[in-house]
Amino acid sequence: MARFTIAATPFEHEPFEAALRDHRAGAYATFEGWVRDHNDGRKVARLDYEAFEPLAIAEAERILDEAQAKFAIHAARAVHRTGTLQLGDRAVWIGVAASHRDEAFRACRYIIDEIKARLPVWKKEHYAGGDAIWVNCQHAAPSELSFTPKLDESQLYARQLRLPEIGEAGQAKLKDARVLIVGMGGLGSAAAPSLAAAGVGTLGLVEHDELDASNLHRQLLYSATDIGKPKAQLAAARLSALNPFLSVRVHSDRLGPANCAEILAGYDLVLDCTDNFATKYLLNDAAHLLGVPVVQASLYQYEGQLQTIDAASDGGCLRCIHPAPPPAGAVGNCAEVGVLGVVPQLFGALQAAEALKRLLGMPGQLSDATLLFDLATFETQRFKRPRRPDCALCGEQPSITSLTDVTVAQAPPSEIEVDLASIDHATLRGARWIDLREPAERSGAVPPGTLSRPFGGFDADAPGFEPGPRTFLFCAAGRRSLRAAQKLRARGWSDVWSVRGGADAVRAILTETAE
Amino acid sequence: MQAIQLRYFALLREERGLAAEVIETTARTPRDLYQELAGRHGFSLPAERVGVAINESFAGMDRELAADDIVVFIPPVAGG
Ligand SMILES: [Zn+2]
Ligand SMILES: [Zn+2]
Repeated sequence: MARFTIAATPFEHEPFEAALRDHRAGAYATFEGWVRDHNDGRKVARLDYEAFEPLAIAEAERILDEAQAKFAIHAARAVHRTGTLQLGDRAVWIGVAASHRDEAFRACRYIIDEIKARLPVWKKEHYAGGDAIWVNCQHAAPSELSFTPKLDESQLYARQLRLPEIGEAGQAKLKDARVLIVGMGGLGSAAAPSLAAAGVGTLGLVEHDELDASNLHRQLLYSATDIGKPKAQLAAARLSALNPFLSVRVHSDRLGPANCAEILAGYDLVLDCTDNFATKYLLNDAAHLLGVPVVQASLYQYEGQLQTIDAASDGGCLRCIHPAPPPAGAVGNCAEVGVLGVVPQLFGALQAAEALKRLLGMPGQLSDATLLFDLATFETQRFKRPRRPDCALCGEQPSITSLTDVTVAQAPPSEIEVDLASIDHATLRGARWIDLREPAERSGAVPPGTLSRPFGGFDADAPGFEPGPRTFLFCAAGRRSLRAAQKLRARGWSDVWSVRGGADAVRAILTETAE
Repeated sequence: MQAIQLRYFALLREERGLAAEVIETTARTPRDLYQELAGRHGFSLPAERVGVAINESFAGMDRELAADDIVVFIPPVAGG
């Protein structure tokens, strides 16, 4: 029987106690850790424990060896639970047998303290309100430290401590700093390790997604073996392994107007690493309404924008440039228009650089300027971003005074879009159909005689586009076809239409006409 | 007529098919200029959803243009 056991289900202590029975022993001390109903002032409903098992077992055996060497005991055993634990469940059990009670108590105390500090075990607390947080504070951090026991934190920062702008004082500022990263996708998974490695003391991660295979081309923090697992938790583990002195907090709820103030309250600075307008505008508004500066990056294919929204500066906000988000679907995100992997990596690193400059009080920040960078040309542009007196958020008479859901409007029906359901069958049969999807995305039936003209190489002069019969253009969602229809209309061709709803709408009409 | 140096960003660059050009125009403001270009090239975003920077700084769509201004139209982007 091994001296340390990981139990994935509730366990009885008797077999472990029996293994300690020894007639030389006059004392037997035990410790049990139970799941309690509160932590840090919050009501806890249950817990999940997760361990890196091989490391946890190796480390626990080492702790038991140390106890055996330090104290006059005969034997010691320990058990740690994993999986879901209910209130009152036994989370840890430790038993020590010794000739005398003093040594038994001291060894037992030593073992539980070291287990709490050194075992790579994560705890997810589920609160009475229904939300949950992975706790990976010092008490539960996977301590790579224990494998390199002589590691001193300042050794990690030797190369940057030498910079005159940093030094001991700057490093202490970083250690005290608490930075929240919203979104652990392309931007977040580049920004987070840069901040962790630089010694930012506390990182919060907001992310509710699981790792998808399509993430890996730009999110180098993750591994293909972890597809399907929660990204926030994977990131927390990786960041703690990178810098064991880091405190990582995971927020696995979606950020919204209701929980925004509560989550942001624990942080000095926010990195907006999201990829949707609703959250970008929410964080932009929060920067002013809650007074927490937000370093914002947004990408489009090979290009990106970087800026800091800071109510304490005289710089403008996102709404000073774009008073409201564009209609849904009008501007593609990475999933829709694609992105080269190095673009988020670069911009995530730039966000980390801006955050460090801010925390260290260095000049040249972007609180009143915006940086545009195009990787296709390697051209950078930097624009001053003054406040607009008529801005609804940061202007002279603001009308936005509380955090609310930023509504991303549906695009109004364009007069060059058609709803196929409203068109008679004869017209549909007599029309020319053009499929703008790329070969790899084509699936499902299309009308007979459909021409294929992938939008990627769009050329208005290609045969098929010339004025002729009524022409219906379609793509996957209706965005590219709208674009193409606009281009053809701009040439003065009038009978060309974009199919609203894309290929699905086309398929629906085929099914219907077949019936 | 005055010469304006134009730069396009993101979606607009894609829709225009160019990153930069110099045009002769009678447009007096970025808004007029954008409408003129949108008509010519079929831009999908309405003028009120586009930001503009003139020379070194963001500006309003109704600021007066001067000869040889560098005008950059900046659509909203959200990728990450
Ligand atoms: Zn503003
Ligand atoms: Zn993205």
